[in-house]
Amino acid sequence: MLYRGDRLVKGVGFGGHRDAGNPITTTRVYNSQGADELLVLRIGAGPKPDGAKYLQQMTTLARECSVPLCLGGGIENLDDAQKLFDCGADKIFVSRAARINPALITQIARRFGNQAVMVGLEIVRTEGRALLYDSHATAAIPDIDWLDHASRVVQAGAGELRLCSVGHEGTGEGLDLEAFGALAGHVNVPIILEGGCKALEHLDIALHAGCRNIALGSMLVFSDHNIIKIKAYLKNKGHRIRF
Amino acid sequence: MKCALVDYGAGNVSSVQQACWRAGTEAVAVSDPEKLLEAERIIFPGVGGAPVAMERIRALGLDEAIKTAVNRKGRPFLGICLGMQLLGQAHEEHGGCSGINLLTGKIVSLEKLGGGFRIPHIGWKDIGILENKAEQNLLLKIPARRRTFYFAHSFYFQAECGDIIGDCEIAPGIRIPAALQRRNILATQFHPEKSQEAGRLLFQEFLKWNPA
Repeated sequence: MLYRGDRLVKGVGFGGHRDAGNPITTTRVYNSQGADELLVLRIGAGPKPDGAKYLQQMTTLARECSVPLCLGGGIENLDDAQKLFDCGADKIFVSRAARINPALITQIARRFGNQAVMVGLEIVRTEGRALLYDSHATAAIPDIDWLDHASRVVQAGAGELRLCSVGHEGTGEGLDLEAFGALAGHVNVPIILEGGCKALEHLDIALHAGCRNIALGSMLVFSDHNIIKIKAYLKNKGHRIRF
Repeated sequence: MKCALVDYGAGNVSSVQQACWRAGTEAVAVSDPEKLLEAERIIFPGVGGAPVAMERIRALGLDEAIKTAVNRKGRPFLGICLGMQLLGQAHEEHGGCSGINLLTGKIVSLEKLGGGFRIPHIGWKDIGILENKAEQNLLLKIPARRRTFYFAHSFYFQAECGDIIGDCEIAPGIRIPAALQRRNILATQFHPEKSQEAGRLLFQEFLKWNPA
């Protein structure tokens, strides 16, 4: 779930965001449909004029959520993270801060445990090469090897990685299993794969490829799919799904 | 006070409070040992590093209050995740620390179990029932198809066989204790407060539990 202003939005390739509903009612719906976890990311954060309202809304959202809740977006220091834990978050998502200030990962992990730090890895493919992507600058970062970066954040204390292939995000072309395979062989923490799911088969293929955790955005927002239907499909395909 | 939540500044107290509320009971966050002894039943939540948590618990005098409530007053007691682990004898995280010592066993890294799985162990798992405690096993009160709970941890409780009431598979052929029960103590490695309907049912059972 992408949060901007006081609404949810959804886009394609980290841009072109359209309104995607009220965050509280959407949480209620996903929770009751049996979502296994919710990840709410504040985007376009910049300075924080809407801080108080955001925190209040996240507190209300957390009360609606009886599954694990990960909050993040624009986290810069331990105090930002503490505020989100106080709202009721179980985990904190950091992406940009993990690059700029990896010590923050260690600080959050020391206080709340490694399992409470999820680091986002956004990658983009340029001429066949996978590169880290800076969603603030909307540009690739050619001078950092993305797999080395992944090892560093795990070393620093990240308990989970969320891998999102920007070229795939919102396109409905299927998940980036090549990138997933590379990362899965490189680190030993759980990986959540995101970006590109449109058809039910995409999930079936990814689970067969060894992916255990998939995050869905567009598929739940701008389609006639829902969590119940998706889980019923995967259960029928023989996957171990909580249903 | 019907139910107290031990609040030592390192737990997800608000999540557990919500979960109790969903199960029909108002639980009160308590960090004063005297107040804790007034509670009819106690929940001990926890996330984060063991030594830091233990230090805070000792500084507040909560370890002694917990022992008194459990051993002398016989209060029903639920430890969740780190709250379960701190009931053991010793924890080896970050240089190690001793525990509250209400349950027999040490808490060690999942790495000790060898490879074949990712650490932390995070996700939803089906619980297997062990034959211990017979019909008193609280997990049996939850319908079999609902026994799926959320785990998030890097250490596990090497418990006494007789205390283990449920386990889970973290890799093919490797199982770890998921829940312990001994007299008036129930302890879960998983997070019932984050396990939706399954969790709500377990809280309901705990909140009306009258251990013999």
